[in-house]
Amino acid sequence: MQLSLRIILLAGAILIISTILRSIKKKRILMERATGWVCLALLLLVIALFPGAVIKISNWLGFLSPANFVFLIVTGVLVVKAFRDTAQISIMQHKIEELAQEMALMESEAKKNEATDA
Amino acid sequence: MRILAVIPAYNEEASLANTVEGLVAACPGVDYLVINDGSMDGTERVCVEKGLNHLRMPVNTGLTSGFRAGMKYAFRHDYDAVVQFDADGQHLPEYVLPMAKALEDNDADIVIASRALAGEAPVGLRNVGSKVISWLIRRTTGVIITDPTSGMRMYNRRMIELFVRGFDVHPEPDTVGYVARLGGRVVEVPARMRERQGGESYLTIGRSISYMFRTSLSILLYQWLR
Repeated sequence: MQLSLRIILLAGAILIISTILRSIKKKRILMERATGWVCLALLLLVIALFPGAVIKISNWLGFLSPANFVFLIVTGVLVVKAFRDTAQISIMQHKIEELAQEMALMESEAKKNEATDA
Repeated sequence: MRILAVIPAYNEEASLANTVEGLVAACPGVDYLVINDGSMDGTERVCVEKGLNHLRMPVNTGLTSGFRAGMKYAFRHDYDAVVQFDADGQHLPEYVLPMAKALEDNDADIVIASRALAGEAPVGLRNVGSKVISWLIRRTTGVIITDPTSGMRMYNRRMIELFVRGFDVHPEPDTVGYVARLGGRVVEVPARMRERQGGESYLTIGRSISYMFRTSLSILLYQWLR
């Protein structure tokens, strides 16, 4: 694996971690949402610092270059993450709709109660 | 001292009524509030039939959010202390008043009902998890907490306000560590617990691992960041 790629991976890992830390400090993300990104940063770090295993697996699978394999790993992780985010957004959307419906019904019931009380 | 027991309940129809009856019988001076966190089973029916003081969350929002709803209730109704009390019957009500006494005597922010101090260690992997969290909290704050994963905790007025206003505050070990690090006083009293009296635990192996990872990371990051 080229030294340049390793340096870029390392820089990427550091960038991710510093962004997460800043976001947590500024209360922009929840801790439970940070863990996935920390895992990704650690993965990049391991690949950058210990490329041996990745090179071996890459050769064994028949990739032309370990760099291609690294791109595939990172893309794969991001695709999984994107899908999980979509699943979570779907549930959140459902819950928000549910809440809006409940609030609208509650308001109408409260108004009716007021009318009968008066 | 006015104490509110906040009882988060998610699908706890099997044990909820007994838990509340036990609590009311053992602690007549303590008020309670059940948080039905969008249960899919008959939890709401139990609450209505038994006339339990409860909130109904229209959707399932998770333990933290449900508990925070209880904290907001306690804040608005001027309670001095809130005890986190499981609906599944694990927690024994006879420890609520000793916890309140410890809270007052030590001017504590958090009192934890500790199984370890009562000579009862959790078994197997749970014990390992608990030890790891204890060790992390001691390393980062210098405070020794023998039973960080005990779910029976009492909070004073200052902590009620923290839960009402805070961002990312949980009724979990990482928040205990966070409070200890900020110089809050965390005290433990010995307490026994029972097995859950019905319903199902949400802690599967996968969830336990991610819980451990999140809690450990959270304790470490709090040390550097807040």
